[in-house]
Amino acid sequence: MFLIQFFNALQFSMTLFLLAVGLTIIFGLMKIVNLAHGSLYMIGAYIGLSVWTYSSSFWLALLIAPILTGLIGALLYKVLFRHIQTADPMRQVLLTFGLIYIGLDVVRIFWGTMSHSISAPNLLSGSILILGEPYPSYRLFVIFIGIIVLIFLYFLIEKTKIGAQVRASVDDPEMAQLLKIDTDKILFYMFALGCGLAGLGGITVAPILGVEPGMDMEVLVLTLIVVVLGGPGSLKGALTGALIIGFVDSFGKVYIPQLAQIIIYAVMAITLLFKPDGLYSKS
Amino acid sequence: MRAVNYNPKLRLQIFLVLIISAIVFTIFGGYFTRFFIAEIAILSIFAMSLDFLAARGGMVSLGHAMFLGIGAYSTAVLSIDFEINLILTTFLSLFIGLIIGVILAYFIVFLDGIFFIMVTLALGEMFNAWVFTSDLLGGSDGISGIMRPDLSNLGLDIYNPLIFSFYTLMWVLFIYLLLARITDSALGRNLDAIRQNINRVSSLGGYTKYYKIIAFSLSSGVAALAGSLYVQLNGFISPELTHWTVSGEGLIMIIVGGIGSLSGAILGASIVHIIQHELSNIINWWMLIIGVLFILIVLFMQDGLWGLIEKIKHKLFRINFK
Repeated sequence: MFLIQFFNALQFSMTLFLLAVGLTIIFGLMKIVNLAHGSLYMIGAYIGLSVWTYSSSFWLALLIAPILTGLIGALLYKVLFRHIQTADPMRQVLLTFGLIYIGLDVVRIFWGTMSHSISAPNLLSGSILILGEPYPSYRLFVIFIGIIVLIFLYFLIEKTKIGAQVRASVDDPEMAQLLKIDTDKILFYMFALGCGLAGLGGITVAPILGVEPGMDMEVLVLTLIVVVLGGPGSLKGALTGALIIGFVDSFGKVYIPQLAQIIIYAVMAITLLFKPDGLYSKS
Repeated sequence: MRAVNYNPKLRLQIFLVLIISAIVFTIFGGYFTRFFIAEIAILSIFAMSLDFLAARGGMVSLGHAMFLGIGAYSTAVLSIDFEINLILTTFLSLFIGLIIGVILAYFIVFLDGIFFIMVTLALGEMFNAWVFTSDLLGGSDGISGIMRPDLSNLGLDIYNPLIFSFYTLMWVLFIYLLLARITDSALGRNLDAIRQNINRVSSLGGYTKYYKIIAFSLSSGVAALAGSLYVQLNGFISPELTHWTVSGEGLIMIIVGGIGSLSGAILGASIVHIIQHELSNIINWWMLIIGVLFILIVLFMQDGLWGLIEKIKHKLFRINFK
């Protein structure tokens, strides 16, 4: 029982991580909190649903959903986000709030208001014995994807030249520009990458939670809490925050179901009381 | 945050136009128009509270729907469980909002920009989650059976939509006068100074935290009043009222109307509510249109409708002058 809970919590943490890491990179580079991040996650799941329905291949859906969501993100960056970088925080937040409305209606127009489900591919539809207890292998696969993304991002950000440029743009954009780093291009690619990861999060949880309108709102607030808790702009913070919130939420729901929701917020409030900028703040 | 709209003369002019047209519509309108006016009046009070907080206090809250909820649930619990007179309950709700506002403000006013937005959002969602599980507050079913204040001593029947509509408009007038008075007072000037340069004010010896707490709690009290009036209008309260998107919609109203101008908030509340109501009747995908419209306003009309009116007035004046 405990073991199953442990892996469920880990799986949920990884989903939160996929979402939070995109949001936190975007915040680090642009100082914008994108409230439409949850909408991108939902759209990723719906795109995956369509690909899965027409091709009946989950793997194709897993490939195409993040790419298309990333492209939508790229478009949003070119059309909107590029132009509001210097606006005050309220305008930025409210602009992304307007995007939530659009996202909700786009989903309703194209896919309707019904909830759908995607079945896991045959390879992953069974369960695996962990210390004598059966555990659905698809959930392990989600954990695996989370770890792959984590390793990929670590190498991208810490070990490559592009990563160095990204870090420079986060720390001091003006100095980075002086050094001939094309920060606008960096922002563009990172924004698209962040949105693509949200889409990846959407399609990977679809076989577990299903695909339905309103899934964006459920996950958005948790993702924001993860980002704020970990310290906006920090990759390490996104991982730590996702693990804390994922475990508190999963175990809270089992052991103290009545207070589970409130505990998450309490954890965040207490953390912010002691570290107002989050666990891994830059300043 | 940059300087926000401040023009007491235009503010009063727009307010008069709005309130007079509301009165005219109430008198000559039918049942639904009167109900509609009461709804707009309550939304206007909520929008004014957000406007005062965002424009004068320089604090943008995505958790202000919590105070709507606090006002609404206070009214429900005090009037049903404690059987307190509803007029008194209305004032008590405002007062409870004010007190909770002071306590919360004490912990959060030092946060700035995006952190304040995120923390208020989290606080609001925490309240929302608590309300959904609380047995005292009826959980996800909410509370129903809330009465309206008894005005029979004055010979008025509050369940007559005409009377209730005037009752809410009276509150709009009161809140407008209160907030306008404060905006023009020394406190308002201090808040403006703090918003523009908080370090300078503290080095001049101003106790900035104190002023920000006052601004936050005042706005909380006004929002709680709006919540109280909301349950009096509908007779029930559901926890959906405290969802963070309600706060977002309130902020949309002040952006559409023009931030910082109180009467702009009322204008925005009216326009947004009318569009929501009318569009959802005609077109199925009205949310898409509102979303696009709203993004366009954020991008291209920095001062909302208020800015437009100011510009038109300016042009007309110049033409007359020649």
